[in-house]
Amino acid sequence: MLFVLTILEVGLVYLPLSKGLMLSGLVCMALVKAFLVAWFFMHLNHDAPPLGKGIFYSFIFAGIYAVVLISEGMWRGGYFWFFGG
Amino acid sequence: MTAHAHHHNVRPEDWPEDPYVGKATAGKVGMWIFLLSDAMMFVGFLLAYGIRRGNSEVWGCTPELVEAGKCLVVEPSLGINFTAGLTFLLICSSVSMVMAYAAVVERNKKSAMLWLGLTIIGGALFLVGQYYEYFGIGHAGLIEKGLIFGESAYATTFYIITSFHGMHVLSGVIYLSIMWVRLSRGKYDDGDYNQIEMLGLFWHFVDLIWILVFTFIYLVP
Repeated sequence: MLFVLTILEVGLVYLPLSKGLMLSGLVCMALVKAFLVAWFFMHLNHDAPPLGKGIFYSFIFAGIYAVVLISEGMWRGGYFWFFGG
Repeated sequence: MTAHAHHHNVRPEDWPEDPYVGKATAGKVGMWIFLLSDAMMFVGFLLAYGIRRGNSEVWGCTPELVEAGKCLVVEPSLGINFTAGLTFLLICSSVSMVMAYAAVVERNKKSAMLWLGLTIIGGALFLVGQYYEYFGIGHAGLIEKGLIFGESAYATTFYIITSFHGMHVLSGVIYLSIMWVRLSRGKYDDGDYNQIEMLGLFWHFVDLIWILVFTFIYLVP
């Protein structure tokens, strides 16, 4: 699965897509791959739910922080490339 | 938990059940806490990269941009296909780590040593690949081609993030090698796979971070 997703990711870069669409696709696939590694390889599927939740929730806050700060940086730079063609 | 914590060779399944962390040993919980704090360092670096990239009109100085007067010196683009190969290598080493862990649980020392050895080779090859990318072996690397640390946000964020990850791979290879020696000396012959599981957590974390670095640094257009 991880190999397939990596091939799809690299293939996506060569497709004539808009930056927004490509970025969304790449980020989704990377997050799925990261989840698969944590869930299966790092045994979160076997660990007690509170342990997994504690780890997962930490990244929700980091994700919100990332979206807010990067959006603010893009707005400040006057260059919103995410929505560019 | 405290009653058992004084014994080093208690197998994880004999560890007392905790309402919050279940059968996870103190060492495993400690490793997770370390990995979370380490992850936040990577989040910080990736955030800085995202913010700089988000408000930069020029990201990677191409000949066309130099001609248009938007930047001065041409910078090389990053090799996606080569790095995809490194990604495959790291995923393979994660799989071999899973096999090593399973072999230790089954008390199959010979198989565990083989799989752990392959994991070490995978990590070492990744480091050679990163050296090849930076400095080149038999041809010019990124530095010689003009991607200079401190010359642009594109170059600086690239080197900071990839070298910080590279340091983790180096630490992982040293950690794996120490555990391979301990394994060969029969330290885990009694079925205590706790320390191998902790090692696996660290190594899979290095793989997980690379998955994100590969996407954000190399693939994002």
